[in-house]
Amino acid sequence: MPRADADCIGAADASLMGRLRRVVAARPEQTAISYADGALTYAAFWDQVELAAKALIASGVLVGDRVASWSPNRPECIVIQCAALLCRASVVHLDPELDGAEAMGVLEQLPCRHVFVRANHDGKQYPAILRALRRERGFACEVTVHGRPERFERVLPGGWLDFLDSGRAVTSAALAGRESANGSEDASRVVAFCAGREGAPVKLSAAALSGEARPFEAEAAMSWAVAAFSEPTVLATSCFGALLAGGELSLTDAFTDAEDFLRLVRTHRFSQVFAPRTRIEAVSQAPNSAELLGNCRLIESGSKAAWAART
Amino acid sequence: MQTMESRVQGEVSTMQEFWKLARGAMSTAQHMIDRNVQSLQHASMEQVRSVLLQYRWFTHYYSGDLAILIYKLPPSSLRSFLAECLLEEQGMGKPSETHPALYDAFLASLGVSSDVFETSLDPDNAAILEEMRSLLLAGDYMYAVGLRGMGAECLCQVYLESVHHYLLKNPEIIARRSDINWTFWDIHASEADQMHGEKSREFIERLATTPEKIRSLAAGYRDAEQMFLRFWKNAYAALEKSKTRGLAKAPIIPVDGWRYDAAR
Repeated sequence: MPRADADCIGAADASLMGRLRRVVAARPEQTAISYADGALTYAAFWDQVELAAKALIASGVLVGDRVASWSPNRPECIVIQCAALLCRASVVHLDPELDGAEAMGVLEQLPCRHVFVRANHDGKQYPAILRALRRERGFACEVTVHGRPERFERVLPGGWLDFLDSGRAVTSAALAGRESANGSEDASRVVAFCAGREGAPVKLSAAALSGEARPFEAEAAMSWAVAAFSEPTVLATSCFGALLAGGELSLTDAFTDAEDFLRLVRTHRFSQVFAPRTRIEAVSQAPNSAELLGNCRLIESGSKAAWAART
Repeated sequence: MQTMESRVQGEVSTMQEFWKLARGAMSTAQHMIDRNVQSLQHASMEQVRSVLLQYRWFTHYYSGDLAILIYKLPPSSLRSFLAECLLEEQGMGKPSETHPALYDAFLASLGVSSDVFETSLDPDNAAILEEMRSLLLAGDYMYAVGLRGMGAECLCQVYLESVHHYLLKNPEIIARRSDINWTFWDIHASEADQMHGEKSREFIERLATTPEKIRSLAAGYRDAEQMFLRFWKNAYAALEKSKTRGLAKAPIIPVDGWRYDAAR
């Protein structure tokens, strides 16, 4: 757990992770991320982030290296993004709806040292797809799988818990040394790539993430990320906007229709929801939507063109 | 029916030759370009249901066949491994988690009524499944390994991966994807099953210690591949056939004489 006062990186550190450290130190027991099977407090989230950062170092990830995340919205995706920030790497977020060939195309364009994938989601078997591609096209990257059924978690190789455990061999001093390598964080450094079906991947600098998050830090928000992290707006604003404000980021994705969606908005009292345009349009057309939405803002996750125009 | 001796062919006597023969059981490549498999991405829901309903029976017969194979095998890594597989197939003590039950749950989530489950088997496929069991009982253990060890664990696994790939591209499946019960596929199209296939092959190789055993293994695999592909060909044609001649309504007479019931 970080200390916000004496930590020379934390207190004066205007970097994303410095700011997040202060939030964690101020409200360790508050829920940071909620999802279908549970929730993480800020303290538990940060502990995972630090351990994952150490594990990335242990796995050979160097400053400037890329790691990839191919998964629907899950806490592990944010843990890896923050861990990469700590150890000066960057993350390629692949659209979870890409097929195997499309994902391989991105990974060939942006070679990564390590790929993190979800075990399965709505029938899609990410690790199986990668293994088949490995056989057929050759693919030398290390793969870690999160979300496996419990009986496979410590049995099959390349599991999330084994990955985190590998970080225990790296000291906190080594992590601190990596974080402060080359001085303070270069705000123009690309820290994330968002790779979907449209065009080239969008590059996000630390400054862009920080800038996009700021407007949402005015109040501690209850934020719901419906669209995937491979959408730059969602990653920057819903994810970091909520966390840097000390709010709560919800990754619950199970709803059947617009009315179910509105019911969830009211039940969880979301103050903002980041969703694709089609969802927003469907919700807007539902009966009594304005009343049911109340003060909740629906924010379109947006196209890459919109992101480019804004930044 | 041909005798075992007439089925054994002499040209495969090394494992290198055997793996070349069995390449269809190790990679999805040939199945991914199979037109029938590819047709699943554009098929109507009626056709998708009909095809996948036939596969239900393959799954239902598998546990019994696996038990017979385990019975025939000498003490070996393969025998222990297949016993683990059987435990998994039978839900590890939970009847609702047997793989047939999971598959039926998948079919139900596709909109298949459970009323049609028990009367859905194409008569030609019934004959194939019974023939396979008959050969399994009659053949030596290496033949049985080729028939059901390679034929089911390995060939079936890569074929299902290909089916799954095209199924996920079908617009009607895409539209209802989050409402479908995918648990069966989370097992059988997953990395875990891929690794199962790799382990099976490793353990099979440990048993195949003489040219005679390899020949028997090859004969079993050849028969498995032919029957498996015929089964699926019938599955793709089942809907059309059912409209013209109907499906088997009479109870199936099992070749081993045991009373047929849904749990076989």
